Amino acid sequence: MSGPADVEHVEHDEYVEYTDVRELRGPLVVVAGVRGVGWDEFATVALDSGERRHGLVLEVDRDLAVVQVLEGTAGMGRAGTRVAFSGTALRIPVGPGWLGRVCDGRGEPADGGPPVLGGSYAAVGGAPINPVRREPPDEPVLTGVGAVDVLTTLVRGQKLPVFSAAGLPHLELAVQIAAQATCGGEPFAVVFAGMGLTHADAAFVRDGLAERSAARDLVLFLNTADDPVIERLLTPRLALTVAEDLAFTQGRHVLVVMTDMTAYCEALREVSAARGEIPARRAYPGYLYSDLASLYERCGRIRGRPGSVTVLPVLTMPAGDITHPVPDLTGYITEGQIVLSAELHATGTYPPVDPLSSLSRLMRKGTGPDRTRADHPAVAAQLIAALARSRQVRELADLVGRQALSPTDLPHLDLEDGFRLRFLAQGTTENRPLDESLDRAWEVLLTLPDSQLGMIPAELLDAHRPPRNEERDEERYEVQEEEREEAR
Amino acid sequence: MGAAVTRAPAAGPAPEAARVLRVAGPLVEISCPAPVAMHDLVELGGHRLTGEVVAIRGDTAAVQAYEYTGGLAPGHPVEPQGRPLSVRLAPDLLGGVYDGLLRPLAGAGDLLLGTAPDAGPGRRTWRFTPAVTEGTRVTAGAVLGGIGAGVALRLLVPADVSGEVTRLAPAGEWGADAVLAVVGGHEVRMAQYWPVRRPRPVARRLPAEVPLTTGQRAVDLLFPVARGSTVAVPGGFGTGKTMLLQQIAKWCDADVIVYVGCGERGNEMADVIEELAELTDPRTGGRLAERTVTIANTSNMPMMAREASVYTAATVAEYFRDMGLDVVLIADSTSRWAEALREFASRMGELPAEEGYPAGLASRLAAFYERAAAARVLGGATGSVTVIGAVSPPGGDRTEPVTAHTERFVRCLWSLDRDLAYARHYPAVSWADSFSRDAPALAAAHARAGDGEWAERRGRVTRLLAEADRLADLVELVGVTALPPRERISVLAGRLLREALIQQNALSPADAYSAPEKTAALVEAVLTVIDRCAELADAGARVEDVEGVDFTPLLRARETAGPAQTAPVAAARDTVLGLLKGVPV
Amino acid sequence: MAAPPDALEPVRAGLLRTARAEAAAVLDGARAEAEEVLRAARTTAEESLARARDLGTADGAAAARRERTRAVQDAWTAELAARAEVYARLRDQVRAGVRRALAEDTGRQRRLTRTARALLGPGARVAEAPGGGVTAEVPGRRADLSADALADRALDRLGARAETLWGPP
Repeated sequence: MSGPADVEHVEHDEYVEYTDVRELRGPLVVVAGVRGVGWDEFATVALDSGERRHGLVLEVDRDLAVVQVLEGTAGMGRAGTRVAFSGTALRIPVGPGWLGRVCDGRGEPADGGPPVLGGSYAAVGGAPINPVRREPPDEPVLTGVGAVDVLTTLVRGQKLPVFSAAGLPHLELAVQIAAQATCGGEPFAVVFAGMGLTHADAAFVRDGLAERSAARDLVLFLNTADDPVIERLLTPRLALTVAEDLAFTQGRHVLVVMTDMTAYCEALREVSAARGEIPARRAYPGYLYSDLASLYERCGRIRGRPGSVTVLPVLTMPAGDITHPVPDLTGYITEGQIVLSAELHATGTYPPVDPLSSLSRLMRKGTGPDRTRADHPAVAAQLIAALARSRQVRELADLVGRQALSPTDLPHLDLEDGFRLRFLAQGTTENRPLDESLDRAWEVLLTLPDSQLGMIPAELLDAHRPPRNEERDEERYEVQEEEREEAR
Repeated sequence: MGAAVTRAPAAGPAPEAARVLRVAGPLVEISCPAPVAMHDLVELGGHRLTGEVVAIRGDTAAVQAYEYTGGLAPGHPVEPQGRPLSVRLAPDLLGGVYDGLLRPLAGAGDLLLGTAPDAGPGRRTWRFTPAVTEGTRVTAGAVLGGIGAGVALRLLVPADVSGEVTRLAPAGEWGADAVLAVVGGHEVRMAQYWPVRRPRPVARRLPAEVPLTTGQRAVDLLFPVARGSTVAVPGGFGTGKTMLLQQIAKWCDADVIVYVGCGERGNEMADVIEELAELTDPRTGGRLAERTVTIANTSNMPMMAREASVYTAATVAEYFRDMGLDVVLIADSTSRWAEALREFASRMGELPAEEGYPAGLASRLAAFYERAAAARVLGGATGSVTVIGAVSPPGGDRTEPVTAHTERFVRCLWSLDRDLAYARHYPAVSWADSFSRDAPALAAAHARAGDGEWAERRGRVTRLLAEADRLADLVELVGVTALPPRERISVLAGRLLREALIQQNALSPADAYSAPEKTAALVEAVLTVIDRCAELADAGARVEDVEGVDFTPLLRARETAGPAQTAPVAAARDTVLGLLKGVPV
Repeated sequence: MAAPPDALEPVRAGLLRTARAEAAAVLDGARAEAEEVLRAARTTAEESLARARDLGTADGAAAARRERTRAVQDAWTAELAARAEVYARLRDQVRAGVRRALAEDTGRQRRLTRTARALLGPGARVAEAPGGGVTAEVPGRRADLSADALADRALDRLGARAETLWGPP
């Protein structure tokens, strides 16, 4: 549309509001008489009261548009509701202006500041990174949490979820990682998206990340449990859109923490049910995998650009069930998982990271010489293997008693306790350097004889084993012999 | 995506033109005053998004859009293309990376903004060497000449053409789109087009009975696959499905690999692309990438392109098969493909069958696996397409529809086991839940090739593993020390087989690939040691003493011997046999 | 999205100029206050540290760090509040400016009526909006060309340039 460019110049029929509301159902409003409205457009919904809400076009059929209202349809009637369409998908300003800001789940300021303005706009839906332009991730993000840094190293550009269950300290861990993470002195930022958090949890997050926020290294989006449910569909997308700009335009390494993804999936299920879609497992929509992938896959690095987006989604497994669709589909998309264990939590250990079911698939490339430390990959692999053996041995000992154990099994019996007390346990605000974490791992491993440390190259063993003492070896051998006698 | 979602400029509509009526994600309903046919391509809206007609009702049609439809609105113009979804087949596919519609990704930008990447004509040339002379009468599929690429390619008479060769280009360097021959009035180029949903014809199917050596011992020894056969690889997340498939893509002895990443991870695709470009093909000395066509349709790329991508891949595989080559098509993961089917069926309002999947799921799966074949191709040579499809059962539930149906249609099943994977036993191919219906035919093939012992070796290993598994349950209850000596040796045998033979370290250059002779040597070495242990036990030796022997040389042999070496394996065996001699009887 | 119309440029620039002068006063006040808070915090922090040294524990150091973080946070909150105030004033000014412009030139009001009819069709019922501009209606559709709606959109288009009000922090 062209015309005299002036105050009254109208560029687009965004000034037109549609008032013929046909149907209101769940979070959906169906409006008739629309013209030229495209699928996935952003809409503004005005209520009689003057309140403004926001929506997305889920379907256009001839002159009908189905709009999903992010704030929900409570209080809306067929009369007095007006819907305007923006002509584009939802876009938000992006830029460094987000740093240091605290916003609600829709990106509106919650810190008393002005709206966040930006030099440019980006669609919150994002665009897939061209697979041939992706740079395979191969550098670590250090979190200062020993269990994560040593056993499931987070790699820049990776997506690594935390699988948890109700009552476990996943929020503490997420906040600790968000507060402590660094990328070897390179420009860094954290974007934290909270979905369905209680007010107490939201306050905990704000307090825990105050330092990072004060340093303007943090963007915080908080959708609380009493905020509109559908808004949660937007929150992680806002976070990722802001993060992508900070990473690929501003050149920062960005860690995006998204918690709780189960709350997000429930919002998705609610919309799907309202649309009358055919449900798949546990009434979640059949496109849950693709929808989650459209979030998680936004992590990565791009060839020739400096920054990276690393994604750490946190989710609670309903009833602790890892085969529930949310953790299951997440696991299929992400590159490993950090699993929190109720048993470990019950022993009072923080963080209760289960070393055996946790895994970082990209860690091979992100650890070792020039990345973390030369001995890191071997130490991590050996520690996992030894713990697996230790667990078997303990189970066996519980069933049949110590006497049924073979001599090679015996040293493994106490390994798990040592691991838990010396290596795993850490304070919620303790930022443990990688060197210390690795040294603690050695300390645990060296309670085993050399013959049980076959995954560690001999020269590394020699370097870390306290100076050899023939007598002591002799002694240990004798102890083993005695135990063997006993076993007989 | 910002640019793509913007409303297209309204063009002046011709009264008869087809128009968009309804848009619901990838489902677009259009009016079509002029007749369209099923599977015809259409271009939607001002951004000319590609779509395919999948249903026709009265003068409206349902279209499956292959791109993000944001901004597409009722009233937007539609242009039917009057032809089905087809792909360009040419030698330059080798070494390239494509999207689900076979458009090169190399030419696209950092972000895929929803518009088709430009498929500009390549400048590359290949050496063409004529194999016939002008005036020869030829039929469909006949070889007109050789094309010198990394892989030995051929120029064929297209499937629907025959007659006299009236013109033939001389030997020399030619581009893919140059006319190299005229046959029965038809111009023949290296590049040709083929509709993806139509299988390319063969003279006749042949029984699949030539082994495909994958270099993975768990497969080659326990659950071998024949060229032209079908394999499904079900495995929950974290069981190493992708890793196993990538190993096969790298090391199996096929001529051409077509690798489809269908709804999978972007970082993983980037990794495989980078590795293939770096690794050397042990058989040709070229780069592994040069024998590989990669189709990358990651999970966040438009969903319906997943649906097309497996057919695209099958067509590419058949194109190379028709030249008399052995092709392996790897699809990771067919479950994501099935999900795209479900998603679209749901939007179409089709009545759902199991778990929301359309009722046609089983037949669609069957039809896809049927594109695998060992065949006498039209030109008379033999070629094959082996299909290996990953399956991702939700919650690891093997009774879910995709897994359950797939198991019925494939000849081999490599089930990946979560417990093995958690114990870091890779590849986590379960010997209890996998099968190979090719094994008897392949045993005969090995016997013909002079290895009459193959079936016996496989049988012994399988039996020993099963026995060890059975005892493992007992051991959990009573402890190993409570078992009689012979059974304790069986437990030891299971461990030796698992750790020295079945496990394979994909990250170790020596162990990532295991040539048949090395696999045979390892089997022989482990079985010999096991036999010796059993003899000792029978002779009255204390089992503790046998168990206490340092088996490390044997366990490490797979990594100390190179991919095709047997001598270090034999040496390790002899070292351990020497140690066993020291066990007092 | 179409590019912002350039003819509005002088209007915006003028508004920004006036707003900037006012903003300076608000922000200076807030920043001076924040400076004071920070100074006080630093003193407290140093005291905590000194105490810590005396006691030989790490607790004091952590307390000092918390104290300093809180102070920086408080200063930033004050700065944000000041910016919000400046931004709200800018909005008021833009609204007032648009109302004034519409009141001064009746030709604009006529053109808005024409635009409304172009959007909704010749049969649209057009009414003057309180404060200037028009609203128009046909069954099922409505156009809001009121002064405030026009002003808010003009402000939105200003985008990040409004940040020049508070400059680089």
